[in-house]
Amino acid sequence: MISVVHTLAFAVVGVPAAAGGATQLVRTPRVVDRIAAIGAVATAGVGLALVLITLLRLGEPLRTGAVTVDAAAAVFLIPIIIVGTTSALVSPAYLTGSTRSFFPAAHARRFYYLAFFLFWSALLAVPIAGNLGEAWLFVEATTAASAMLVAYSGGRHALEAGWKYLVLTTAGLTVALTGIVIVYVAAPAAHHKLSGLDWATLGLTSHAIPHRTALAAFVLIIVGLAAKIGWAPVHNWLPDAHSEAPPPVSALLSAALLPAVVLVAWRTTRALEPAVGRATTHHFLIGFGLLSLAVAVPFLWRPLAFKRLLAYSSLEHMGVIALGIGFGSRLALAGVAIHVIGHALAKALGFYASIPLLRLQPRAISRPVRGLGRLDNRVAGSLAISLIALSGLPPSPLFFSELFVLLGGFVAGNAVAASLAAALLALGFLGLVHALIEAMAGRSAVASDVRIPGRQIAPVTIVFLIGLIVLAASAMSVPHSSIVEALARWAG
Amino acid sequence: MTVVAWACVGCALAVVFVRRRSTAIGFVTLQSLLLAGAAFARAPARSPEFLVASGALLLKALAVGALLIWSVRRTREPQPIVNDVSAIIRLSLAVIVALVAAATVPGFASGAPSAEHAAIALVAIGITITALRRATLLQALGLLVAENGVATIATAARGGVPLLIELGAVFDLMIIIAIATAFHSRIFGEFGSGDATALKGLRD
Repeated sequence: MISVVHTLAFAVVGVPAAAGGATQLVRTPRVVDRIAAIGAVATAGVGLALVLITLLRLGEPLRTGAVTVDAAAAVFLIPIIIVGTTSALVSPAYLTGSTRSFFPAAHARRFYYLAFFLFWSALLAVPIAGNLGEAWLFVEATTAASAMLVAYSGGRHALEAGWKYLVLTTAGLTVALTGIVIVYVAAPAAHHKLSGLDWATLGLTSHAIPHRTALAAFVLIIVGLAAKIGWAPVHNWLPDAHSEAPPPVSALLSAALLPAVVLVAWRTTRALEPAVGRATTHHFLIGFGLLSLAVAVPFLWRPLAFKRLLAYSSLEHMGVIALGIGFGSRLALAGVAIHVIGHALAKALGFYASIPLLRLQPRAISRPVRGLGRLDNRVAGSLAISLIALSGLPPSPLFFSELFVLLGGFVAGNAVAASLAAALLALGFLGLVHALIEAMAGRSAVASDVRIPGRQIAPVTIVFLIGLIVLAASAMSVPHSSIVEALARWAG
Repeated sequence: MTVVAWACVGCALAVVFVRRRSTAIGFVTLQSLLLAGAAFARAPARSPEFLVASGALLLKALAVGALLIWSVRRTREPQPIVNDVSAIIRLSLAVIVALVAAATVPGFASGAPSAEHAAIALVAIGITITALRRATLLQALGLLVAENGVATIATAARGGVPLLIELGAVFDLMIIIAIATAFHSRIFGEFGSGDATALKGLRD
């Protein structure tokens, strides 16, 4: 069985890369779309098989030098697989309506898919990387693959967003690499080989690194990764990139990339805890979580363009995940597991809804949505489901996850941080509900006789709504599940 | 190694200071070549993997330098990009940031403590260049300077760093710089200049 898991782990990275290559072999847009769809479904099949086997074998996680497939990897793989597949399938709806591109017009569609599948491939590799150095390489590869996707439309704002994303995340990752090299060099000489950076090895040997050195390296790595995760105060690229990227790419950035890098930060925290101290590492993450919430909430109250609103919501939700990991209690970890998946479903649906939305109200790219309820029920419904779920209104799964994280904070003895977070989440909830009411009501800037491609969003909405309902219905059983038990065992 | 590391810091400070993009590229290429030379000089006493890594550093120095010069030639600025912050203030800020960073990060037993300080200073100066310079290509050079700081640690450390990490980082950086030059060309075409201050349309 271990060899099957090993094979699937390599296949889940290789299949999307091969699909990206296959899209370069044909020229007809329709055929390119079909190859992309086949590649997406094949990747989903391999990925879900890997997740399923991992969840069935929680007691025997695969931890080799190259690959780590455990409960945490399974939880974080789920949104990458679901959102990646759906993003590939809805991409034709976006591409058909796009008029200009960063790439030469004759190759734009094929280059889009090449970059998309390479980005997805790198993303799938991040949670299962067995080694801190490899994980860094894959995270850096996501930047290389996705920067031009962010600027895909080729407009001035898209170029600005893509440039900021490229420069700021690369700068952050260089800082993180500095910390990684320091950890490697400062480790006992016997471990001066690649395996010295394996998650398991690092966890066993890091205690030998002098405390001050380990602390400095830890800070460099986490601050560097925070620039990629979008944790405040190093989040400047996030609202711009999320708002300017094509919606299917925005969905991948928000729902898959950010949590995937959070997992690298989490694994680093676990590995360096013996040298740095559990309290220090956890307070560091709680600090990032609270700061992200505090920075995001005021923006959720402002009249923002819809995709920028979703971007600041990502900042808020990455803060919640940081808090959950920082609190570290079993209840909080259950919250993290639900939140990673629930946020991905709700956020991706919001970005997919923006494809027809921007056809209906092109000005919504830079201005708040207004009067949508009077124009198209399907788009309005998708947007409403997304915002309701993201706000944490019961019975959204994010209501349960946030509740678990907060209660987990109290259980872990972090009452002050949990109380602050509760207050900030309440304010964020009100901001998003207010934005939803404004988007549905009010006067529309577009004549009601405009026909939009709302049909395509309906099946996506139904599937994601079912996913959200299933997640919410099973939320109460998650804290007692074997997944959370395995997560808690690993997280110590 | 210590002399080379501090010479690299000197090159980095020159990038903070100089006005012409081609001059700055020259300094960063010199910095990368110095590092590659230092790595080759240490290679005989180390593993064959370290020799391969040294070759990768040399390849990076030449390829990235050539790519950036090519990009400069294709995007001649109609008028010089003048920074809001004067050169002397930029230099002072970079020196302060470098000193603070070098003093803050403790030693990590690489066997070359002075080179460790120089490496951390390089990373700090690189980030400062990216933050303070207005020309998009100079911002990309800041990333290169910072990465050269990491390469300095890798070269100075007794056993080097794993080949996979070394090669992967060099390869990733080369792709990132290639993408950055593509962005620079598009920004130049769209805005008529590679001045990053034009990229301020997205505000909340």
